[in-house]
Amino acid sequence: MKRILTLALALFIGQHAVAQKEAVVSALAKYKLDEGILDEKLRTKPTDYSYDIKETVATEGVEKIILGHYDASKPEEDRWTVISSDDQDPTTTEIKRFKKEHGKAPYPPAKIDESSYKVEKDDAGILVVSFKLDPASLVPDNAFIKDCRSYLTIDTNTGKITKAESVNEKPLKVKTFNVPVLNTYSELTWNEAEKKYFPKKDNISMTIKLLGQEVATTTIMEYSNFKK
Amino acid sequence: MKTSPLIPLLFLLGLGACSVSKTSSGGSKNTIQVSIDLQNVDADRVRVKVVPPRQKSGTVAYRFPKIIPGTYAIADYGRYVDDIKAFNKDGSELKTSRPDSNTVVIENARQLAYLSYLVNDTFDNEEDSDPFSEKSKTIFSPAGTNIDAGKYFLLNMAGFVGYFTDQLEKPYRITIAHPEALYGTTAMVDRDDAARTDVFNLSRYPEVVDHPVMYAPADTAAFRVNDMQVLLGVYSRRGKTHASDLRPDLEKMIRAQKRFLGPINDTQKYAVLAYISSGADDDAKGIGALEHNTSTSAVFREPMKSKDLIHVISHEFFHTIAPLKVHSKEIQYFDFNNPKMSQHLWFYEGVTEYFSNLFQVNQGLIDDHAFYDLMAQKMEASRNYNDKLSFTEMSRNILDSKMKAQYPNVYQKGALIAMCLDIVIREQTQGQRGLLWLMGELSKKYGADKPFDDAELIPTITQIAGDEAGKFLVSHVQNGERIVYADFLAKVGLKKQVVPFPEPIVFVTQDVAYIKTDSSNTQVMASVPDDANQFYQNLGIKDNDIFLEFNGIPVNPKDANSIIYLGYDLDEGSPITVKVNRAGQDMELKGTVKLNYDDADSFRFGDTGKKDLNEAWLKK
Repeated sequence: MKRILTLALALFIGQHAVAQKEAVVSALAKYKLDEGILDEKLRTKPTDYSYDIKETVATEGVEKIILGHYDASKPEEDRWTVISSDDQDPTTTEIKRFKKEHGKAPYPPAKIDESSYKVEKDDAGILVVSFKLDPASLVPDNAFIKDCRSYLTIDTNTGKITKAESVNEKPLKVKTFNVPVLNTYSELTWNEAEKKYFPKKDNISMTIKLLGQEVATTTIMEYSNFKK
Repeated sequence: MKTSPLIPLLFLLGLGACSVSKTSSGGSKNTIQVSIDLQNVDADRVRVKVVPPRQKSGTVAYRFPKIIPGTYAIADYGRYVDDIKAFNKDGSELKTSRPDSNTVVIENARQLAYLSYLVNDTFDNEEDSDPFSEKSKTIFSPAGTNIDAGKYFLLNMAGFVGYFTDQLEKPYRITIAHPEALYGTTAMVDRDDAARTDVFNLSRYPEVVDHPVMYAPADTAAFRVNDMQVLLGVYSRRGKTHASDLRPDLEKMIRAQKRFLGPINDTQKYAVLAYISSGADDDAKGIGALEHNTSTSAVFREPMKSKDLIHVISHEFFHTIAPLKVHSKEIQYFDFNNPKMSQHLWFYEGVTEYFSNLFQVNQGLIDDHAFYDLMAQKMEASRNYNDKLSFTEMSRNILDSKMKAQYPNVYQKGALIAMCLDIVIREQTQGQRGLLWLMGELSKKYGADKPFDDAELIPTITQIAGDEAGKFLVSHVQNGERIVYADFLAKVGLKKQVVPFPEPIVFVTQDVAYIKTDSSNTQVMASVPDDANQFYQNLGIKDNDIFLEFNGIPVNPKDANSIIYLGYDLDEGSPITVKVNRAGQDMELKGTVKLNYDDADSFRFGDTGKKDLNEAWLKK
């Protein structure tokens, strides 16, 4: 069940930094930043680049590391390869699970609830803007995100987003499961050649209450070796 | 759920139930006399009175266990004890102090006539956390206590009775006053004929802890298997499950286990204490069992099936070999407040778990493919733990909070270690001998009253079973080298093969959940994004159907997750009726269970040159 939630959140991470230009224009304008910084397309994972991924899942003190590779040159169904699982050959189950998690199409773009905008921090070269998503723009699978607040950290010197974070404001209900704690963040790097953000690290921490017991889990995905 | 924690049994001096009859009648001046009053419950607390023998020291400590054998987790039972007072023979209170929750220090102990205290139960104080998680303080329910005045009491004795420092070897006489309507299920022998009083004599404190009692309205089944008497007591909070429902399968299984074990097992009486939790927030959450030498206290959850009991007891009963017959000094002389753990959990838990699977194919309860699949599932599950960890190191340090998370692997990799050792012995003896033979030899060399030094077990096994067995244990158990299971299974003719496995919960297939809640979170509904869920397709369950009942058991809208249990571990082809509300109209969907399947790695026989060894492994 944790896998299902992780999958939903991994897809969410790629798009939760969506912001509508109008609502944050004034904050950005103060630093003469380009409004284009908020364009969602700039933060979608590149599908035309090959890259390596290291996925670390820690649950209640037990850790598992899976190394994978995305090959953009291959047909869509063959693009993901699992290289190893804890330094061993991956099993059929691990391969299927990994491909399913990483191969799923992202959710359709969601809208920001413009009334929810806040400037959380504005000093020392850092601008942090927060917002919530419009529930009407979410699909059933990610509807729980309506109870999360998203935070964008912008380096006002470079004009680039360095971090996108989301924290639940109240206990979430995902499918039939209670999620009392959810914290996700993405570290991004700017690729000058492609003029877009590439993912550096995604981190999903959550506590799931399942059958009377709380289970804490953290999933970290580290991206490297981007090649076209 | 395959992960139901089956807490291991380590065991102690095992005179067992039969030893009860060997102890004195309990009247000696050296006996610690304990009275437990279940008739006059005080605000969910039970009054206990302890009359000790004359104390020779000026100061004495009375202690409750920090930990008990078989749990591998700190319990601190003293946390649940209130209002503890010491008195002299005139009824005047003696000065006491409580340096920690488990310890009461009594001054002027030479004058000590009796102690009196109140015991709270642990079921009511369970936290919402996995008892095996790093920071959990919850006592695993089968090791816990429950006080439900006039209805039900679970007495894991560590929660009710303590010991005086350095006086663990003194005999105990425990008198329990209980409501007449409640029957006590236990492996102990009641020495009193009165309808409202039970009296139990026990030779030493470890034996006290080893003998739980469950008081509940009489719902029992008893039968004999050869010379062994088996007693099953059941308490279902919702009254849905009864001993008579569970007895046929339990008897069939224990008969098969006794045949498998042969003369190595000489247990005289075995009691199963089964509590079936309603699953409500205020009820037991730790599903599993705690094994004792001659009994098992188990907690299940509604809806309970006989195979849930079989799954638990098939493991626990094999503990009558290890550690009962073969165990280390750490177990024999267990320190309840500063325990030193044995390095051989692979032996106590792994061998036991392996036998609980092997005997099924050996006795024809399952076929060879089913057995291979059980082992393959353990290989998959063991990959969730540190596979390069020395198992002896892990065992020795199992109470370390960082190591605690590795504990469930004793039932996965521990069983696979036992499997590989079995195969090595079979190969070395051309199929003539196996792991069960080794256990018989070890029990002859040691036995219930003769523990081994932890460090001598592997050398002893090497001496008995040969160098290859010893090399395997040193490399893979002591040194933590990975085991390539396919290499060992090739010795008995097996080759890797991808096969379909039934998915354990009908609401989830291919990692997609086919349930959801309505907008008010008060109804559990079907989510049908595609037609991949064969269970749904077969019964005609549609998107947005509101689930009302499964085989007559209502879905609790206040506990949406409880539906998971209703769809867990169902049998292919078994009859099922699901009541749903579709667009405002209630309807019953009747049919048979069609499970969902997913491909995963397993093994199949594929080397005819190894046929004899394969048969010796599985059938001999």
